[in-house]
Amino acid sequence: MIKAEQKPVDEILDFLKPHRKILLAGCNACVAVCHAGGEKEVGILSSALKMARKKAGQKIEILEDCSTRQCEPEFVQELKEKAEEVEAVLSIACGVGVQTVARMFSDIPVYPGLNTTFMGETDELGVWIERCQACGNCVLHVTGGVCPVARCAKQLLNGPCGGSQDGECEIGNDVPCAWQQIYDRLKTIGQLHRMEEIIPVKKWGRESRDKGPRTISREDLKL
Amino acid sequence: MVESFSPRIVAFCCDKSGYVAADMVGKLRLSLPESLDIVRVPCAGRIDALHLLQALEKGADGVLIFACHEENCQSLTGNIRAKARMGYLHGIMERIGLEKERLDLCNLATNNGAKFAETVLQKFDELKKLGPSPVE
Amino acid sequence: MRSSKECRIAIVIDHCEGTLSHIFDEAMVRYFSGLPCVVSCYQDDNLSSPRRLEKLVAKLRKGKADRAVIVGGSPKRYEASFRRLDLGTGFNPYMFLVANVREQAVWTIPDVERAKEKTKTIVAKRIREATCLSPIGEEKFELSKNAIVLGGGVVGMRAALALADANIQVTLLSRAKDIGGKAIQLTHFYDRPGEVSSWFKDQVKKVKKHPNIAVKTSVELKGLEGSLGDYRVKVEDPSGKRREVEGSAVILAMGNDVIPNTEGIFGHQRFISPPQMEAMLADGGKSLVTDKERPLQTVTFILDLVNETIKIDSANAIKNAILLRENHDRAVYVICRDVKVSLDGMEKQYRKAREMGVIFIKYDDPPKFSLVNGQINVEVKEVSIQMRGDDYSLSILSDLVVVSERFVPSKDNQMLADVLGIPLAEEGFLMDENPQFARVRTNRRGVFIAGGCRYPQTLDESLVEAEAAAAGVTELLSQGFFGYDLAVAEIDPAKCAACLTCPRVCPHSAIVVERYAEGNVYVTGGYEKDFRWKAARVLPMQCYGCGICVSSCPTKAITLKHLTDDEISLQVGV
Ligand SMILES: Cc1cc2nc3c(=O)[nH]c(=O)nc-3n(C[C@H](O)[C@H](O)[C@H](O)COP(=O)(O)OP(=O)(O)OC[C@H]3O[C@@H](n4cnc5c(N)ncnc54)[C@H](O)[C@@H]3O)c2cc1C
Ligand code: SF4
Ligand code: SF4
Ligand code: SF4
Ligand code: SF4
Repeated sequence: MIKAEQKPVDEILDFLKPHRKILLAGCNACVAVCHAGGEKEVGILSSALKMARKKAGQKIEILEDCSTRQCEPEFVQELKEKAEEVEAVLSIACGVGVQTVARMFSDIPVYPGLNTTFMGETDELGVWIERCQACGNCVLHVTGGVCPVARCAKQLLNGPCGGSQDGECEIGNDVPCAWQQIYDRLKTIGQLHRMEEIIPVKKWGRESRDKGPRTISREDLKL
Repeated sequence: MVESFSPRIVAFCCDKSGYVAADMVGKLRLSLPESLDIVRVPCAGRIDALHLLQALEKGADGVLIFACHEENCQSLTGNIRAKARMGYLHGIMERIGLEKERLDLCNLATNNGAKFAETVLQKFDELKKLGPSPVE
Repeated sequence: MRSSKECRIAIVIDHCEGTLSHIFDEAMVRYFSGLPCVVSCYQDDNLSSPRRLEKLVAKLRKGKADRAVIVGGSPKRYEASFRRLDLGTGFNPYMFLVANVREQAVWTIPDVERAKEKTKTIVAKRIREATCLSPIGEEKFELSKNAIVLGGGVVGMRAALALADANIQVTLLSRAKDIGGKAIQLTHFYDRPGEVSSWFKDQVKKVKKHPNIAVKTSVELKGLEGSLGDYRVKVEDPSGKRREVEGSAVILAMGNDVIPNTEGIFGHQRFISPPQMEAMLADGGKSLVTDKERPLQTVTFILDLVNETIKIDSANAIKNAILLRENHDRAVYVICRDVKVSLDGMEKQYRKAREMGVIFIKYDDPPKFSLVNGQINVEVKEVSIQMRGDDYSLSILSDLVVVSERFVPSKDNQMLADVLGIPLAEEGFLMDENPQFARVRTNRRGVFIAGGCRYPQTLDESLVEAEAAAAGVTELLSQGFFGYDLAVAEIDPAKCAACLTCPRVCPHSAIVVERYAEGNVYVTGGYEKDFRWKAARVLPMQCYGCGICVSSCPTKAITLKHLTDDEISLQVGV
């Protein structure tokens, strides 16, 4: 799912400079799974920050907590008591969680401790790869389950560019050409004819951000 | 540097090698610094990054991991995990200005009592030169 | 951690046969007694004796204390005795902590006063740690005396016989139509002069007749599931019908596969494989003379083109070279990188071969082959000649060239490795857990490996493994139950994010991720309904308590019962 990695400690230390007591809030969902923002990382980061500040002769007090999912207001609400005690919150959830915290605790600064990087899958323990860019109009049924938006350097939607060589993308670095993968997959599953289907250009609007943040609204679920 | 500075070392010892070697130091009547604290773990892989940082945070001037030789771990990869975790923490320590030398690992076998003592004493001297941990 | 008020600690001073008495003077005992939560203090001269420990436990049970800190030597000194304590009725062995002041203070700090100070620090710390202790129970489950042996080769047969003789019901599964495996092709063993086929046939007969062995042949392995006491092997018969075979333990003896070298010139009829050579010698050498074109005068063995680290080829070539000289008076050359003579008695055989006129030629650059008038010309640069600075090749006109087959892992190895979580060694053979400690045990309790699937080696070596594996199984099953204490890892399903880290890192494949773990119910404020998701679970009988999973879990959902994070944290502090 959402993959992230921790910001360098010195960067975090920099924006925490003005504060003497903070809440370090992790999230036990996606970012825990990629070992960036779960309870364990809360402990590690907290320890590192405290040591650094002690060394600088400017001690910092850190309250620790870890939400079930920081992108849910009810779960973030559980942090309220601690948040009221501190000058600022350092969130090591993904960018979404950071914003939920900022919205819920509107009168104190909230800082991100992670760089939210992409949506991806686990290749092996400790290695994650980008797989989807949330384009808003999935074409995986046409492309044999390989996403051209996330995996082709040029995000080409209708076949490879001229740079595809021996299965590799022209950008090098051993990156496989997504369109070669699409072709191979379609061939294996006997759907090569799909290569001829034209995928139209992405529509501005639902598939992009010119109307502001995209919103999904399910009338049947709303309270 | 204060003359009487005696670095505090926390040594995490794998029960299958390091701890037995530490016992052997005693049997050989070799000396160890009084400021050495031995923490016994069932496998070097048990040692959490958190424990290593905690030791430093709580005032250790140096932390040592005593693990089995590579490819000789009864849990197959415990010693390699420990080494990898140490590498990860070295990165963090560098960024917060803690000398990497304060966290180190030594691979040994049960009968390496002398090596145990030697490693501890070497680290002791090294830390003495380095001075007290800046986070104390 | 319990609030320290509730803890009642007994200090038990072990004088270690008087060696520590100078440390434990009155002042020291007073110091111990004054430490928080300490309610009683006992002294003994040698607690390493199980009998003394039992007596102590009896005393402890009558007293007020609910846990004890032994002040004395290394914990290793007491642990064997702890294990013998009756878990159910006595003082729980996990309510003991050992303050190792002998090795860590008295013996390593020469100055007595300083050693005493260190003793105090160590004990004070242990007392604090003791407040974290909680009793750990034990469990046991029944083990039926049955086992599965996979592979009907000579190793599988020997293992099956050994088990059957120990009154264990064995199901012997084999892919081939009949049991016997590759050894059937052998007629001689280098270290067992004379016919072996009768010995071999006898083995086959014994296996088939043994009342405790059920042989199932022509079955294709489809999967292996379960854990100690409950392994299930899925097999498919030629008609495609699948079924499960159950057993408490499993011995993997699927051997290795071989790929004959037939590429290019090696496809020529004058190139043969070692088993073909064996067969030619088996009929008394008739096929050596009845070749119509010309008698087979010169035989050349080519070694080390493949299987460079395996010693079977050397043994085989030397064995057959001797026979060719001895019984048939043929000219014999053995061309190799290295003669491997590390096998029992091989050194003598090698010498014998040389004395009988077998010519050994060592090469660095692989030999070249060409056809010359129906013969094979083997062109090779002998190392010693090269070292002398000369650069000519020897040319050996051969009537028959014996080229080794490549030994490769059985095609089931990868599947089994994946299913069991057993790592594969470099070449793809099943790796043993730790060559120093146990050659035939795997990282899974109850699964053993022997023979060619572990690593290709000679029959004798493989048979030793077969017996070792059978002994391992017999030992496990002999009591009829498997008892284990719960000093293992435990996962809190409510905290588990099902990140799959722990099942991936566990070296003993002791962790499963269950669809709906029992009690895996997460409820938070604001939600009435139960939240359920997948969670990981440790199988306690598979867990070795190494703690690797604990330190890898990103949500701190795992606890190692006998060494919690709290206990470690208390130890790393001042
Ligand atoms: C893999 C690849 C191979 C190519 N090979 C060739 C080739 O061989 N020959 C060829 O002629 N063309 C090639 N192209 C195309 C060529 O690179 C582009 O046409 C060209 O670089 C476009 O230039 P640009 O300035 O319009 O956009 P870009 O080079 O994409 O520059 C846009 C810049 O704007 C920045 N930016 C984006 N949003 C914002 C914002 N909101 N505010 C501020 N800054 C912003 C971006 O960070 C970026 O630096 C290739 C393209 C790719 C992806
Ligand atoms: S096509 Fe769009 S929605 Fe589908 S995987 Fe790719 S980026 Fe994601
Ligand atoms: S080579 Fe393939 S992946 Fe790379 S830009 Fe071209 S089409 Fe896309
Ligand atoms: S490592 Fe922790 S969070 Fe991940 S599956 Fe195991 S118990 Fe669950
Ligand atoms: S403690 Fe070790 S053996 Fe037990 S489940 Fe964890 S990793 Fe596996």
